[in-house]
Amino acid sequence: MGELIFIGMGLYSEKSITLEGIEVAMECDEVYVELYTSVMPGLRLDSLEKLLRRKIRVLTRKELEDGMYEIIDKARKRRIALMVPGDPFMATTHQIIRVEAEKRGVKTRIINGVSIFTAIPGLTGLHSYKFGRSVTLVHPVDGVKPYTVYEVVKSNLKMGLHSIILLDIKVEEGIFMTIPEAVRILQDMEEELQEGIFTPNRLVIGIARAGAPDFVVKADALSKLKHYDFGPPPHTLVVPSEKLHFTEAEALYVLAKAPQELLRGVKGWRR
Amino acid sequence: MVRFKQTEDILKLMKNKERIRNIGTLAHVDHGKTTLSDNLLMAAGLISPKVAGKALALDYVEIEQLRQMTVKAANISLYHEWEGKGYVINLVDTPGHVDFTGHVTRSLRVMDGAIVVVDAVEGVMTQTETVVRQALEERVRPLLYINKVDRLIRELRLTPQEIQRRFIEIIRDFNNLIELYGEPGFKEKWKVNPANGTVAFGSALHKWGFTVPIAQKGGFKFDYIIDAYQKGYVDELAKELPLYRAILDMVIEHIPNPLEAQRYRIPKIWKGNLESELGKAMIECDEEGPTVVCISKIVVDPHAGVVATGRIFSGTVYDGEEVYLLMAKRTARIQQVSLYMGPYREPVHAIPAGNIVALLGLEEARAGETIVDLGHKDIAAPFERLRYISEPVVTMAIEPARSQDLPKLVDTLRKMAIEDPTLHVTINEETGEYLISGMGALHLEIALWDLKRRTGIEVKTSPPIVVYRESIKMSSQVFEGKSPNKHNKLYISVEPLDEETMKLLENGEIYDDQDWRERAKILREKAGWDSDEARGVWAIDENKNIFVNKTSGVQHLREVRETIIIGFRDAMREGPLAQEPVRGVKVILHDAIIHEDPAHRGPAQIIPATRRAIYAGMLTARPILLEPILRIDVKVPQEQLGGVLSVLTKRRGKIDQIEQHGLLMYVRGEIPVSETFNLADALRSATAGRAFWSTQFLKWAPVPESMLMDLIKQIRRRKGLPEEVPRPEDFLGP
Repeated sequence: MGELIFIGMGLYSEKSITLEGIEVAMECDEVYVELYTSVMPGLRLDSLEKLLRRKIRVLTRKELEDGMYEIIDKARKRRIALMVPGDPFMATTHQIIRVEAEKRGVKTRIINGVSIFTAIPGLTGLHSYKFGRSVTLVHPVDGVKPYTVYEVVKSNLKMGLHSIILLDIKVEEGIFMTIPEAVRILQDMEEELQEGIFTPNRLVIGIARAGAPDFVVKADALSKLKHYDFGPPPHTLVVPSEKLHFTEAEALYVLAKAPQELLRGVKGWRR
Repeated sequence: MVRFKQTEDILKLMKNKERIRNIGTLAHVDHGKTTLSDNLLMAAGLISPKVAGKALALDYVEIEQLRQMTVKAANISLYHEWEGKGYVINLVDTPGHVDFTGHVTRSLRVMDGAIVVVDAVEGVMTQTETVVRQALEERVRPLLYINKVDRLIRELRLTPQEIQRRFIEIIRDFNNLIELYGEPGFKEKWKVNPANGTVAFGSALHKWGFTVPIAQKGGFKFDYIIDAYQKGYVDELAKELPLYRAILDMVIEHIPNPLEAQRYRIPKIWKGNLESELGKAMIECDEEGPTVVCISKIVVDPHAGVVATGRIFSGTVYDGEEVYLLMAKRTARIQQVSLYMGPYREPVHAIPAGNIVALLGLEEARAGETIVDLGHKDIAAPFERLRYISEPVVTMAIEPARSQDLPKLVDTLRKMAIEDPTLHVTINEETGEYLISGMGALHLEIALWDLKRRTGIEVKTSPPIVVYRESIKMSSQVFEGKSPNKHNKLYISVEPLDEETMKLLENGEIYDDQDWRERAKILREKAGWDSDEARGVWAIDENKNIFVNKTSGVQHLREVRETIIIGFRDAMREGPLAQEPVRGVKVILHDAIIHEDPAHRGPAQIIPATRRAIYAGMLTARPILLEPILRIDVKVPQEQLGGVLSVLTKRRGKIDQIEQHGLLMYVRGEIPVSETFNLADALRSATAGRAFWSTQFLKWAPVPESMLMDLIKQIRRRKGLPEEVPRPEDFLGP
């Protein structure tokens, strides 16, 4: 019997894949890998092929989107692996493939991987249960700004929640939004909407290459963050809640070098 | 020679509006417009009397000289004295071939009067009718000049009585046009009458001409002219009765000055608030008012860059002035203000309202642009959207003979498209092929000559190909268009646009970046749209299709609106049948589900979702191809009539009307563009070369059912597409 197996590859390199993921991939009849939903800065295809001792095939977005039913069809008889950066279903994009496969009677399996969403509480010290809706910041299209980001962060803040803002990545087009670019787009929206969300003094955490050995985490005022050098992509922003727990404030101070004056209002935190 | 003095004279006069006239010349092709312009140029002392008539000074482009026709409107300021006073006559030259009617319309906007040149032998022709109609639509007063009278004398050897009868016939035909197309309140005043000097007669080639008042004053009789030809003293004639004097006297006396003209023309040609400061200043032609310039023409000069030529309707433009471009929505600085002297621009620092001006430094300006004072940019309305009677119907592929010439070729084509908005240059992304499209085979031929003249590059071209349009005959159901990632769904139906709406699109009453309230009102009142749909118009594309949003309360729609519109425009640029442009389709968005995260609803997702639903809809709505049809007018001696009729009917032509005028038969008919590529040869051999004929764009009409499938296959093959037309299911997915 065939099977369609979704394997999460984690954050950094082929070594981020779980041992289970590697073993399962080695036993599959065909292995596909998708690299357009995120960037794994240390991943090398030849190393991955060596590790799995087999050929793998990289799918472009178009190949996967248009060829989805063909792959599902193949998985009726053969064991097919689809390897995905991060955790396979944190990118909602792949949900549809699994559901379509199950609908057609094709068995599916998941091997989880480490995701940016699990890495962030560790990198920042923010409490994992206090994260609200996450959102992706994209480049304005024909001058239309991505207002959704503004609305999401606004409603999270209102409820006292942290917001993760993923910065747009279009691997195939070579577009990787950086933190300075993101700050500029957010400030442009603030200038237009003026609801006090992305003010110059807003405490924001910039994260680069989460999960990589040379990761960077830096908390600062929004306007200052744009002058900080975060190095190569991928980049992510976190807007922490305005109601920080003192342990969160302490963690931001210690781990993310947040300036004292931005944490001063946190109850129970003193320096 | 005396040019510098005259520049100064002209500048001084430009400040006195009663001494300004803004005119142009209009004609059917080859009726002698360019030769007339040379006679007028001669009057300005800018070219020697000997070469006028041969040198065709207004034709900068060699091809124009070869073809005896003006392709590009040039401008010139002339000086003329009448009844002891000096006048400035700004002469806007206009093309004589209706293939390029877009240019004519733009030129008309900036002039107050027009000399309509009519060949005494051929009489009032199709394009005479077109240009007179266009002039009247812009409230430009047409005066008549009957040219080539020498041919009546020398070739046809008519008697003075016969010549007079011929004149009366032409004048009657001309006044009939004014009666037919003129507005009440203007047409009676504007009919021409030889007795009051609103008709001139002459020969531009031999440089003589007169009006009845001039002849009476000088005591000339027509016999004197006939005598001059018989006895060979035509040169004397040119000295005693110079054509330029007849024309310029007529212009000064009968064309209103800008102060008079703007009072009644502004309410017709400008759609802004007439009570506003801008409106009042334009109506008064106030040189102290806020700057308003209407640009009629752009030339990309190799040294000076973009040269924008236009009419100052209000204010005074000066070097260094900062202005606002309403169409480009940009601020720009005028680097240099010039007036025209023949082909030369003379920098003059400042020019007041009522005149024609050349401006440097406005890189973003295009023909049809309205330039306004910076302080009025938010309240200023542009001049009416310029209306085009013709649409691009013919295309050809072009490549340089040597591949290293490609960058130069592309750069020049780009410049040419800036100058001539009716010339389209596109690149086929897949094949890398460059395509130029225009209003007819002749238009493209001239563009190629121009290209060669400018660059010296040898090019290879494909034979001309007709550009068809795709359309539909009925309404479709609502289709669900899914994005490739299956996270977004758009619910779309298509239907044919009704005739009234097509008319509004064709005459430019509704257009893309119009104020939506104004547009909704017109659609409701003139085309009977229901108010929800009329308010929901999101986009109108250049091929006359409309996108309507009928959804309410769809989340995130605002952020994908522009992307949906791009999808709509893409689909309209290349329809599902044969990837030809779509025409006359209303696309309605009924509902949508847009994914909440922006990463999943980018252009790569929304554009295909939009296009798929539109294509599926069109394929189920009885899709058809439309082909361009030309109006053809032929004048032919009776004994050759049979030849003409058989040529036309063999080419799917239709005969609408046959009339007898003396010895000539006038045939009016219709013929598809695809049947016209070697029409000239066929007509020549069928009539022993005795037919005068002309064509111009008439309409789009459905390709006959019997030819449709073969034609679609043939186009698809040419484009390297699979022969089979896609099925609706291909765009819907499982």
